[in-house]
Amino acid sequence: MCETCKVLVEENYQTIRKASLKYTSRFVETNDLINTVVIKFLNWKKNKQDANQPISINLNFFYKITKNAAIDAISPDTVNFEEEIEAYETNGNKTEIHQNLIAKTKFSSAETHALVVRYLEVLDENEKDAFLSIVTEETVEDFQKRNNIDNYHQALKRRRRAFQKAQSRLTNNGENVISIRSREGL
Amino acid sequence: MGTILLNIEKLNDFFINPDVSNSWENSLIKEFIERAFLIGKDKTIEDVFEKDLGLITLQFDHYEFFKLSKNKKAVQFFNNYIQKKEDLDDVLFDLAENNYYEFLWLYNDNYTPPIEKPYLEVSANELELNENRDSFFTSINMKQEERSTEVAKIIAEIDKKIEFANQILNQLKLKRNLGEDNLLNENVKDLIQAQIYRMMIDGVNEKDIKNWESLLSDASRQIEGASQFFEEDYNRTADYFQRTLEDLQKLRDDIINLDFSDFEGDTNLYSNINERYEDEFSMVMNNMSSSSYDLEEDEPETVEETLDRLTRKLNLTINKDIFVNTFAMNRFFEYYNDIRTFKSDISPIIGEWKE
Repeated sequence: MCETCKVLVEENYQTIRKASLKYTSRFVETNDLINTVVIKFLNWKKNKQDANQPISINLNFFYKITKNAAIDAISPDTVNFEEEIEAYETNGNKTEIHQNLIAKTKFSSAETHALVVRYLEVLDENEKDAFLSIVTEETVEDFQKRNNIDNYHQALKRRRRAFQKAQSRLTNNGENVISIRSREGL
Repeated sequence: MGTILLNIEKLNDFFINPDVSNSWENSLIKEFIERAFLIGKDKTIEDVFEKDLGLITLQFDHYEFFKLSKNKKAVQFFNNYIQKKEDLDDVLFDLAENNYYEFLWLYNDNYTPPIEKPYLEVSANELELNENRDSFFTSINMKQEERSTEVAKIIAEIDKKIEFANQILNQLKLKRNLGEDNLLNENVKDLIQAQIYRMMIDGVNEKDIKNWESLLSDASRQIEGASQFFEEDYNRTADYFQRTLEDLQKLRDDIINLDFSDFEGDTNLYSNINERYEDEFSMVMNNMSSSSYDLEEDEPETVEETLDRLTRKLNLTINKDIFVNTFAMNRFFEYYNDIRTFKSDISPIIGEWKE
């Protein structure tokens, strides 16, 4: 079954990273959330397969898992997730391939993670989502559909406002003040 | 309340102190400026500079007005204003994010800034020139006319090449995915995926499913390899023509901005530059003629039709006077540059995947 897992994670790891950045800002926190999301996904997939149900992943799938995981992480009662971890470790799901997929989905360096976070730090959750959507070339139509926005113009406006907010903080007289190339932001 | 003779100096004063609370003049000036900022969206040049002037008499044309986009205070005023007129800002952002090359092509094709020619200011007491001076200026004027004609020819030639490079970039952009769907086996992969799901539901034994998953993995690898090839091929070609276009535009600006009154300069300068570009451009064009890009023209759209098409998703309209609205155009270019910079910083981090 692992080939399908590999394909699905490779197709969606960028979405998992972006969704995790909506709710976290510290390197360890983001990677913990990514870890949780991938484990939840692997458990969900195994359950589907065990029940002979089709596996269907829509645009919003990983955003929903991530949001729920982020809420679980800050609530005092995290029994559900502990059960999921236990299930992952005992039901034969914890394989080397799966562990490897989790590791590769995490951010590899605290430094590059910090640079992305610097771009996002003045933005709220929805604005982070809109900004990351633009800079990773998600289409306006997909962004609109994923967020249940009524029309293209409203979706575009949300993206433009988020971009402008980041832009006004990040640029000074046309110069990008925290460009990755200058590394001055660190 | 009388009429206002509005000149550039008064506009500059207004931008320094745009207080309208105690001045009816400033209120009228503000209204005029705000109408001018909407040229290209809800207004045309004619609407603002010929009609609806009310009590204002203008002592400048639209070209002089839009040169104020170099004035920081004026830009600041525009930026504050456009926050209240979000539709215009939305159009500019959408064009920068999603239709940059096509809109840029239209802009280059439809907007040529007037060449500013230097002139000699002569005061009243200098009008009685002696014969020598007169002859000196006559000589200068003759040389200047000769030089202007030569420069105009070069500019015209560069413009042709800019148009052609733009056309190729536009074609590349529009036809980027042409045929790729037939070459990529995305649909084959989807069919295999569906087959695996069916087998899972039917309870087929695990060994058969694993065999199909192995085939799915092969199909994914093939798609990845082919996509990477197309992406690199496209990027390499597009980058080359973008650079060529920028070089040509810089060359054009440099020639226009040269000080024409410097007659001691190298008379072969322009022809040397032109020859160099002639050679480089010919080489590129020869290479392109043997490439696979199809440059056949469809029935051409008018500028208005193209602008309507580019803004249809937003359900907004703009008119071709947008190209002279340098406040709006500068914002469009600024959006594009910042989007590109942020993408190049963030995208590699989000997309990093170590095998």
